[in-house]
Formats: sequence, C-alpha cells, structure tokens
Amino acid sequence: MKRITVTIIALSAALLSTPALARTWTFHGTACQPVFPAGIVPVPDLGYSQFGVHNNSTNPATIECPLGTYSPLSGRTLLHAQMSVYDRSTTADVACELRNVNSAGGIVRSFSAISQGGGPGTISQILDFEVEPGTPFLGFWVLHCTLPGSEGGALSHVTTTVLVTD
Amino acid sequence: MRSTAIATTALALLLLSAAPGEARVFMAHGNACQTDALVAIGYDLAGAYNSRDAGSVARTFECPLNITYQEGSLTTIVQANTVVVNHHRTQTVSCTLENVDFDGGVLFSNTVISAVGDPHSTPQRLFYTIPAGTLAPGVWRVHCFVPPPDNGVQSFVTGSMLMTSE
Repeated sequence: MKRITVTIIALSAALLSTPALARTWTFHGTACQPVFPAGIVPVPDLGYSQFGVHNNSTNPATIECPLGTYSPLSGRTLLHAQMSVYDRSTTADVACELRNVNSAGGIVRSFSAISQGGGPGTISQILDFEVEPGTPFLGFWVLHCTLPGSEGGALSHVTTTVLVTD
Repeated sequence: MRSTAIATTALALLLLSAAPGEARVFMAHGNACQTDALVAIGYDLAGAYNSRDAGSVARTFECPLNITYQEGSLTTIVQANTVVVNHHRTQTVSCTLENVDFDGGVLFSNTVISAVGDPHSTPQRLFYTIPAGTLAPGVWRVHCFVPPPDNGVQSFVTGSMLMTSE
C-alpha cells in the first residue's frame, strides 16, 4: 500500500514539474505598414502577397509591422525570434530590428538582424535575432525594417516572423 | 485503502489538469487589411472597404490572421470564417483563407464567395471548408476580392475568425 502511494506521489510530482510546451507566435508580412515623414511625396509604394510585404519602388522603404501578442499574468519569456525575407538587391540588405516597446512608445529593448548578399532571383533567407535569455514577453512588439529598392524589377520582401516563448 | 483512494483521486485531478487546453479563437478586424494602392482602401467600424469610385475595378485586400500554438503539438484548425458586407448588385466578395510556410509557399487554401448584394444588404458570415485534422502550424492570412462601390455604396471585409483546438 505504502509503495503504491509513494509511486503515485512521485508520478504526481513529475507531472507537476513537467515544463509547459513552448508557444509559437506567427506573423505574416501583410501586417506591415509604410513609415514615412508627413508630407513626403510620393509615399512608399508597398505591395502585398503570399510572400508578405514588398517594395515596388526603386527607392528603399521603411516599414513597421505590429506583432500582436498577449501576455498571461504568469509571464512568459521570449526564447527565440526569427524571420524570413527575400533580399533581391545586390547593393543593399533587408535590415530589421525587433523592438519591444512600452505603453509610452519607448523602446525597452531591441534585437537586430540583417540579410546577407542577395540579388534578383535569390531564395529566401532566415534571419535570427539574438534574443537575450530571460527576455520578458511583455509590452508591445514591433518589427522595424528597411527594404531595399527593387532592382531590375526584382522585389525584396519581408515574408513571415515567428516568435517562440516558453 | 483510504490513502490509495485519495492518492488515486489526486493523480486523476493532476492528469485532468495536464490535459490539452480549451479551444482558442483568433480574431482579426478588417481594419488590419491592406491593399497595394493606399488610396483604394478605407476603414471604419465595419472593417475595410474599397473606396474607389463607382465603375472602377475590384481590389484585392490582404488581411493577416496571426495565431499562436504550442510547439510540437498537433494543434488543428477547428473552424474559420470571414464576415463581409456586399453592397454590390452584380458582383460578389470572394475571400481565400491561406496557410503559408515560413517562406510564403501555400500549404492550404480554401475560398468562399458571398451572394450578390444590394444597398441594404446585411453582413454575411462565410465559412471556410476545413478538412478534419488540418494542422495549425504555419502562417495564416486571408485575401479578399472586394467589388468597387455600387451607386456610391461600399462593400466591406468586416473581419475574420479562426478557431484552433488548443
């Protein structure tokens, strides 16, 4: 009898100590918006497709992508963040900053990533943000990127973003 | 005997509490939709509308539908729908729900089409056909083909809903 009880208690303790599965948050590039000072003409010429947001213009474009999340009171931490981009420029890169913003609009922390190489016809690249261990998954999260201008009709894209929390 | 019963009950409660969570519902208002031409889309409480003048063409709206799921789980899609308001007397609103991979490649797609409308049409909830067992991982988006205003009355994409199994 005692052995059964001890076994059940041990099993229960093991269940209690089992870490929760990590949670993946997915974001499509169609959420991204152009960023430009008031009065600037022409406004950035962005397009949208299954490959997210792209820059139709030959000029670079700055975009911001809201990453809508929710934070349970228990508090999660950000474990990992990466995105997929198409860099179709031989002279510029897709440069992105993952920003954690407080309710006053201030940047609490940010992580950068930049594409490598690139040019017309190149395949997608996965960009990893070097997230600090223990980063609280609180507040607002925004992706801020610069997209190179189109080159010979080849368009650069910000396609998807994935955040992984505990 | 009594201690065994108590321990068994405790274990049963623990197992129940460790069971998969309840279904989750992800909502995306039509105001999140975008289109290639900034001047062709307008927003209000009823969602996004094609703001081109009568006689112009229908526009494609791109609407992100961001979700979250447990890593390594078999989270499935239970249900998904898009609400539209079609005020056009001869054209329909059609919407496609897509799941794309990290690079934008389409993994799943299903299209729904509204009935033709009139200036006094009420919202239509269009349900996507989701095969049983369709997995949630991936990035979800909706894109809709929205008619131009008919006799000055605009048609809307009001929003989309996607329900997952956990």
